Amino acid sequence: MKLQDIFFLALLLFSLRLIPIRRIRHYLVLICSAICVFKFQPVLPIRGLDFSLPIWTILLTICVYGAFSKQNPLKSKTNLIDAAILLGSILLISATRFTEYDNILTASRPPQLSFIVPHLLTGAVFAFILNISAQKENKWQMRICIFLIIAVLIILKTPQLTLIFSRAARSLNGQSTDLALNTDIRWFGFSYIAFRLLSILIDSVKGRKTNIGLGEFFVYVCFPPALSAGPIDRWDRFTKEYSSDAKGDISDDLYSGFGQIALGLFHKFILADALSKMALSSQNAGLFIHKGWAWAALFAYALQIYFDFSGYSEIAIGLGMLFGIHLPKNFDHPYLKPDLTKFWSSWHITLTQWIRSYVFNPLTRSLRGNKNHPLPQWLIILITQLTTMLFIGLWHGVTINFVIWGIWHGFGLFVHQLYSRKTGPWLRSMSTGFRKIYTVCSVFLTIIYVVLGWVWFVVPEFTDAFSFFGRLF
Amino acid sequence: MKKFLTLVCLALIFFGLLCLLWQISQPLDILNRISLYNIVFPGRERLPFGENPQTSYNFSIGSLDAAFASHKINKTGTNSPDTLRIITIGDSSSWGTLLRPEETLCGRLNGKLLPDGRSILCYNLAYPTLSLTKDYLLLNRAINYEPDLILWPLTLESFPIDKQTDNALIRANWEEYCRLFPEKNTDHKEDMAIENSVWGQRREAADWLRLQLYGLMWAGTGIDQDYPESYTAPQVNLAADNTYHGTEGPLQEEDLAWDILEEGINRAGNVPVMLINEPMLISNGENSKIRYNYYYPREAYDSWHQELISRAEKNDWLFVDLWNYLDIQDFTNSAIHYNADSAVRLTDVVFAEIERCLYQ
Repeated sequence: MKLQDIFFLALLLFSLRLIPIRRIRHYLVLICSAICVFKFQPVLPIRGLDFSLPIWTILLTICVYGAFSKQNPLKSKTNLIDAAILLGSILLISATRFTEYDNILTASRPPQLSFIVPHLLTGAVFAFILNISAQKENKWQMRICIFLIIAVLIILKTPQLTLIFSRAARSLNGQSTDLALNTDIRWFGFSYIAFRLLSILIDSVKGRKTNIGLGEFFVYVCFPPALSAGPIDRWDRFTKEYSSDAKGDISDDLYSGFGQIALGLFHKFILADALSKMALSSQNAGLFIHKGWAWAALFAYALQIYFDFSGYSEIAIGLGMLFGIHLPKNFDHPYLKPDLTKFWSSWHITLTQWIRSYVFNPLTRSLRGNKNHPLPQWLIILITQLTTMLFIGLWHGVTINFVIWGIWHGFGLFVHQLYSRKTGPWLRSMSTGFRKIYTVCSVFLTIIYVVLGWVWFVVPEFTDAFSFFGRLF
Repeated sequence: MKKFLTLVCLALIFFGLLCLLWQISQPLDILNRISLYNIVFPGRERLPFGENPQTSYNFSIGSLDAAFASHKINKTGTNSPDTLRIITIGDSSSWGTLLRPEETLCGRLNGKLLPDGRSILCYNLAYPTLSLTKDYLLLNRAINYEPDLILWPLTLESFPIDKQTDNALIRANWEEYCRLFPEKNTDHKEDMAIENSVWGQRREAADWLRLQLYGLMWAGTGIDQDYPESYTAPQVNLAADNTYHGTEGPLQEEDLAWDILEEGINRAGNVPVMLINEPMLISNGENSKIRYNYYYPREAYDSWHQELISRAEKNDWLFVDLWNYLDIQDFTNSAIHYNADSAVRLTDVVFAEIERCLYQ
């Protein structure tokens, strides 16, 4: 999000909050959310793709809704209106093609209607089929959706696969395949959208009641402030607050919201952007000739990624407050935590909670549930921690460096858990003064471990990362 | 709502006070003289210049105060009897485009031992812009650092009248230029309140901050310019054009800023100034009978060259003529940018000249 987008959103969301009639407010929010999906999508070199991907964000959300909703949408007036508004918004946005301001709402000039209609028809047919099955209390359609979303996520996160798809899309479009790059396919916000969609699908498969309207569901998935960098709110909490008329004290929200936005802007646009000039990058990792400055650049990167990410989260939380939605906190001074477990409970909190709910806990339960061949406790910890952190690593990208980064943290968490089990009683018997010293040392060690881990995160090539470690020591 | 409005009012009052304080105190003048270089980071070997900050960790800053504050020359104390302090000024050729700091003429001179046991301490104060007026501005500041010798590499392209003020560095230091050349100042601007406000000076303040931030990468990598893996070699086949800055044939005295050169030498006072006619590519390709290279038609260059020699003789200037010292293959991406090996050869000649003028 650019600075002007943030100011515009702040104004827009606060104005929407002031609308007294709930239904009208909801429709306008729906339209704005749909527009933001298009507005924030970056320009892509493959013709029409920067319009197709936002269309599919909307259609995918409708399809997923169709897959888990047991209602017949044709019998629900509100759902029909919501669907009509969403599809109407797509057509409205595409109609800007015929105006003087043909890329005011989109990354590039919208394509012709003949390009858009097949997308809409395909989406509608899928949503219809999925919904028919859902009404018959089937679950296969949700499993298909889960599989498809994960497949798309893997494709988008794997550079080799995006390159293949880029070549295919270019070839279909009659564009040169020689110019294909893995960065050609960038689906704005999909990492977050996918996790929101997956959470409701997994809950539905498990049999949880998901009685929400299409419009509320769409706003949850594509809530403009949280579209680019989270937080990943829980669908039940979000939709409950969204549907509620009591949105808290407007004055308090205005005060806290602007406070959060100001803090976020300072973190993102001043601190993070300034630190980026001195931070470690894949480009400069091989250039350092002085050990001390290499450490300084690594620490600068650690702070840059923190301020960048937490800044965006604070802006999103602040924008949400202006509208009356209280998005969950995403960062809680992670670099001041005395151990890796606490670090991961305070770094990208909503993502970690999501992974804990849908990966870590089910995996732990399944490993512990095998009563015939029980696994030793340490092995369960090792498997669960490694799998969880590997999953978080792969979420950032299916590349070797993120795999190593995941293993680095998974192994760190495993060692910490074993250590804390062994030393727990001894730590509790420590005197207060000694415990303070111990905590300071723990914070220092945790920072060093996390900061060293960032080397894998920032340097994509294994050999380059390894050589950078050589420069540090 | 009251709480929020109070906050907005407080923020506005605070911002207003900040603007007022800025307007009154004009902190940029002081800020530009403060630098993390030479304190936290090592001083820069060359004046900041760069067009691609992401890869060069350097950029062209307008303020000469900030540029000099970041240079290692700002750390030097008083002149030591064990060293001969040399300052080089000049253009991109002596700044060292595509050369590492230690590979430039100045870098190569650094540490060389003189017969009397003194070692050379050379500071590169060149700046990649072709203009004698810009050179004068740098020389004027260089004098304050009490050098024993100033090396002034130059070429014809720095001489045309239209090149004197038409560059970013002069425009950014217009007040200083006006102070130094009051007789040339025809469009002196009055100070406008907006120019002295936070808003008017925001870019300069941001540039100062950026310069400090890039200090870490300079300290860590020693890189201060973009070193591309490949570049385009200078043209050898030239256009059949005999004009130079709109003038055909030999150049006249009034076409060139000879007065600035003389004023520069006078400004140095007792400090000797050694003029070096920079080596340039002499083409053997198409139309090389008309032009030496992309920059110069033969007639124009020869007339300037002759005039430079005669002025040097007449005024008894220290003068080293290296215009044809290098071969075509010694040049990198321009007719005046030479490679690292050539810099070694040039340094030997210049060093011999320094010895000759010191001990003759």
